[in-house]
Amino acid sequence: MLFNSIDFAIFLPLVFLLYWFVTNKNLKLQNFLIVAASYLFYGWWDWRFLSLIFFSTIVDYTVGVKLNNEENNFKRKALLWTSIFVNLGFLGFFKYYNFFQDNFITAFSFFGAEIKTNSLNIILPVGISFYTFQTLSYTIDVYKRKLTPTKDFIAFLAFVSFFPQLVAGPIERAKHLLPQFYKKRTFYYSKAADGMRQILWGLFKKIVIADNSADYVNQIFNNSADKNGSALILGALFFAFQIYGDFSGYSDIAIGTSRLFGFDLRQNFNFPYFSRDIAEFWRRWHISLSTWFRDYLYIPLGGSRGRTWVKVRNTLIVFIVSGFWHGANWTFIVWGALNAIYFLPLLLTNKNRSNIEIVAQGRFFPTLKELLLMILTFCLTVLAWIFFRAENISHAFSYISGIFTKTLFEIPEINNLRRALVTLIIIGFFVIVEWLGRHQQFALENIRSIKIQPLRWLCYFIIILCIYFYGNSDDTIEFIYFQF
Amino acid sequence: MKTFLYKTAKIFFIFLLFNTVLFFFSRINYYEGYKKYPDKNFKTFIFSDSHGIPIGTLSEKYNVFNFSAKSDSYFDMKRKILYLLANGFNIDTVFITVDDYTLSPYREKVNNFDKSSIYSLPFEYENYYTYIKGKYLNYYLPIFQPKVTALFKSYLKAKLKDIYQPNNTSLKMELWCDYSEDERALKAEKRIKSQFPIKNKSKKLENTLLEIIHLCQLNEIELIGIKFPVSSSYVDVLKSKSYGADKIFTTNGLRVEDYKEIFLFYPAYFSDQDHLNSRGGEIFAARLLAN
Repeated sequence: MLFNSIDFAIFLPLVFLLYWFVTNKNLKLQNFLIVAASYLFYGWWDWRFLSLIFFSTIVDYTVGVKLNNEENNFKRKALLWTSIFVNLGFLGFFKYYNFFQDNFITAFSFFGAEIKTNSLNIILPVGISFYTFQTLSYTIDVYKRKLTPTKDFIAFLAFVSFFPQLVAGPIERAKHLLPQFYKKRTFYYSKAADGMRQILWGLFKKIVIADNSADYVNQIFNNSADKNGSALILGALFFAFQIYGDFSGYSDIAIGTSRLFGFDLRQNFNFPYFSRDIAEFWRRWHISLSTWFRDYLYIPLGGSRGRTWVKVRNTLIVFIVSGFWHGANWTFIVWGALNAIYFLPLLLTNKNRSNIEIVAQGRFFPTLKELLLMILTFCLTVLAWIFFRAENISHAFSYISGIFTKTLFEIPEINNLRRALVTLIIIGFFVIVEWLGRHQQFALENIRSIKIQPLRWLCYFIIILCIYFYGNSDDTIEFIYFQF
Repeated sequence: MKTFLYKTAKIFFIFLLFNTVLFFFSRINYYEGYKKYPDKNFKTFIFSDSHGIPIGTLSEKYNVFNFSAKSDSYFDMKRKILYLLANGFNIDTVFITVDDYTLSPYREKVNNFDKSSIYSLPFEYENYYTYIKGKYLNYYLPIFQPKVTALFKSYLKAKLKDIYQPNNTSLKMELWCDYSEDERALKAEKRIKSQFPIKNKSKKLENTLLEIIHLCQLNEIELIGIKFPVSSSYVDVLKSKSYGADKIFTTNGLRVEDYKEIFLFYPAYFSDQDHLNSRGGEIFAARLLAN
């Protein structure tokens, strides 16, 4: 069920009331309710995939327990590889089978051989890319003895299937989330109120920013051959805000919902469009995924130690695999590679950790240099997003070449230009609010510092009105990251 | 917890209040003219979209109930027929539109599937929850209804325009026959472009029409297809474009009454390129139903 649906509006209060009024006295009951609610939530998409997540959970729980009791290195490795094989096997089959088959056939036909196969009509289970990585991190940490495996099967079930973050992250580490299932949660007003604020802000980002941008993105990208340069630029710009609003909005709703139940999830987006270079961007965008790849792929490969060619190789591998994680299409691989090309000069000149603290720390305005760097970084990411959104590589290239023509300076040829301008103005206000809140976990967190309650409620009211009146009422627009 | 619940209850109360306002708004402005519950004495019905609306209640003097509604698609018409059958109506004859565009893919999006849920039956849904949600929750919680939201926004915009531009002359209505030939041709072209967006018809709508045919056969209902009158400008631009709903009828041995060109020389009977006005509706109703 979508977060912005009538189903979730009924589901959440019911689970909330049961959780805090019926099961709050007993830890096992609390966890059991989380499991039941999470399986109901996941089964709402497609009940057939419940068996998949349950099987994956059983395998990793069992592997964890056995790893704890096993001292033989060979057997420990075999257990680890069992978990990797099962998890990545499911992911590989459901997500990449047709991709590999199609490319295999294309490669063979290049040499004149024709292979006839049947494409399987495979439905991608929602959230599989997220929960497989989450459980994999558990078994890898247990193998490396960084984590004691749990013997509490219900807690582990709850950790894997926790509904707020199940279908689109954040990808939580067992070290951070699992211990929270060992203690009975207590209700804290401030945490729950913060959670509600974060949910509200997430809904604003999704319904107002992302879904309104989506209209123009679809219109422009689906007919890019007929659009002039200025329309194409606008399409790319809207997509940058669609994907940010959509994905970070989901993360905000997930984190906010978790807070309602007494859980703390990790921040997943830290105002990435205010980054001054690509390295900083990747420390702020989809943090849970980029740190996963850093810890479980980049560092085991050697990280940034060793010779230059090793650094280059490791960087390319991580970014390309990260791109591939997003989907079975060459466009994602190119997107990843492009980001690697952006990143490498910084890494090789040891400038990848130049900008650690948030921009304009302690100041209201950025310096001119900071502003120019932010704009440059933003432009580079927008260029890469074109590959992310395009249907295929040739579509991406023709889109980019369409931008750099003399039509770049014409009035954009899009339907409902006036509404597009209104959307851009709203995005402008949104950027200002995000800028003002950039030191917080999420932009609206600062609002609790407004001591005058009616004023605070007026702010909430304005946001709710914006969601209602400027939100895109098309209920068919799903969250983008559900397709991953 | 008490403070949290108290504050959440306040928000919920405001939400409920707003929903109540929207509910009454939707009853007057959205469902207006749509919610019709015919008398059990009627045995003949007309199902159409906006083309059938000009007939109004004139058909009732011929003992025919006009179940037409603006933007009704075959999805909605099928629901209404099932509703009538489930509620013990003894249906003899059904007149149903088979105009050239009725199988257009644009009807898959532009229809009354949310409205016609008031006529829906439990077996049309996957389970009881989706039935309750589809039929009752969507009706009583219009705050979650995108079309009601869009209508409410337009209503507020129109009210604001009235306040700031009270003598807005651009809203003056013009009669179809007051337009020049070129203006009429332009309007017809725009309309046909929206009705025929792509070459291929909608498979979903075609299947639904076939289901209607099958349903009527099963219940021994005489099903007659009608092609409503359109203006000469419309016919000139349309040429031979058609998604073939009428052909489906003739293939299944069903009668089609083609009134498309009966008013070609009577522009005064039209309110626009393909809709009759009240005068045209009156004359057409007599023509269609007198026999």
